[in-house]
Amino acid sequence: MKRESTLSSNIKWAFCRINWAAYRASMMICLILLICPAVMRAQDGTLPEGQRYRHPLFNGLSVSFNAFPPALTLFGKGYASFEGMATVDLHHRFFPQFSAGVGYCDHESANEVRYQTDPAPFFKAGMAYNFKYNDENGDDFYGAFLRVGYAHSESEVSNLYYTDGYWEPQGPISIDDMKSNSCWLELGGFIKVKVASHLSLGWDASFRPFLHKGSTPSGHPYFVPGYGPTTTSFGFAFHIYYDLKD
Amino acid sequence: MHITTKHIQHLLVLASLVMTFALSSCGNNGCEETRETFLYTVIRPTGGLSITSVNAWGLTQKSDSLMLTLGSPKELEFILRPDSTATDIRLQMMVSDNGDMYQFDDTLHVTYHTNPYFIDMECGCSMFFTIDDVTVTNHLFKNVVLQNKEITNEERVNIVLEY
Repeated sequence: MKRESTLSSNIKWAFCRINWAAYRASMMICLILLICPAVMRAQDGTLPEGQRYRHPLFNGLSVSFNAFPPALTLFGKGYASFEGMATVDLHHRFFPQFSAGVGYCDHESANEVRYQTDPAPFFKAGMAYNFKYNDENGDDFYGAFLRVGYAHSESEVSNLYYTDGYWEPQGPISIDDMKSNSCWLELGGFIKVKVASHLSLGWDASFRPFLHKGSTPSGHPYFVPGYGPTTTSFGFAFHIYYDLKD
Repeated sequence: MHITTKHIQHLLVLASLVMTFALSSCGNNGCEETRETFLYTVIRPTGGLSITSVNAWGLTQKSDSLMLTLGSPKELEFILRPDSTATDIRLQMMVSDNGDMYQFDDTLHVTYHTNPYFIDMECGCSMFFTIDDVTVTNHLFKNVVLQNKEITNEERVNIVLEY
C-alpha cells in the first residue's frame, strides 16, 4: 500500500480532489443540460413517412485543427500538442473520426525540475454522435463522442533532488531515456457551430481515463503527446473546422 | 430579454471554459505518492529469547548516527545509502532470557544498486534499490533471508532476520 508523505501535501491534495470532484459534477451537469433538450428535439423532425434520415449517408467530410493546446503556450505552458482531425458525416448522425498530431514538452516546475519530451506523434480514432441529426437546421449541433488515443514518447527529467532525511541529500539527478507507450480513452460531449459557409467552430470537453499510462521502471510519464500533462484526467479542445460539403 | 436554449448553451460553454482554466493547474499540486523507501525487515524469533529493544546506526567512514530505536520490535525500517552501493547498519539489541537482560551487537551488510524513480513534477523523485546481497554477523542473529530484492515506495517485506 502506498503511503502518504507529508501532512501539508496531503491537505493540498485533498483540496484539489474536492475541487476536481466539484468540477466533474458541474461538467456532467453541463453535458446533461446540453444533451437533454437535444434528445427531445431530435424526435420533432417532420420527415416524409418511411424516411428515417433527413441527410444522406455520406453527408460530407470536415477537417479541423485543435487550437486549444497551442493557445496555452501563449500563457507560458512549456508543452503543446498540435492535432488535426478528419471527420466523416454519416446521415449527420454518426461521425467517424481520425486524428493525428505531434506533441512536445519542455517544462520546468516551480522547484526547477525539468521534463523534456522530444516531438512525438500520436493518433486517435473514434466516433461522435449527433443528437440533432434530423433537425432542419443541421449546421449547429451537439452530441457525445468516444475516442481512443495512442502515443509513444521518449522523455528525460533533470535537476531532481532526493533526500531521505538521514543520509546526505543527493542531486542533481537526471533520468534519461524514459520510453512510454500510452493508451487512453476520451469520453465527452461536444458542440459545433457554423460561423461561415465552410467554417465551423467546435468545443469539446472530455474525461480521459488511461488504459495504459506507460509508466516505466524509471517512473511515471508527466506528459503524453496528444493527452497533455498526466496530472489531470480532464481535457478540453477548441476545434476550427473546415467543412468539405456542397 | 427572452432566454432561449441558445443563450443557455453559450452560458454553459462559457462556464466550462472558465472552470477548465481556473482548475487547469490544480492537478499539479499535492504529492499522492511517497518518496520514502525503506528496507523492510521482519525480526523472527526461533527460540525462547525475546528482543526488548533495538538501536540501529548507519555506519560511515566519518561518523555514525542513530537511525532508529524501537522497543519490542517485530518489524524494522532501515534507510539505505543512496550515494553508495553498500550500507552497513550496526544493530544493538537488548535481549531478555528468563528475566535476565543481555546486550548483543550485530552488523547488517547490504549490497545493492540504485534506481532513481521519477514520481511527478511536484514531488520530484524517489530512490529505489535492488538488493544484490545481504549478510548479517551471528552474535545474536542466526540467519538472514532475502524475501524481496526490490525496494520501492511500497510496503513489502524485503528481508527476515532470524534469531
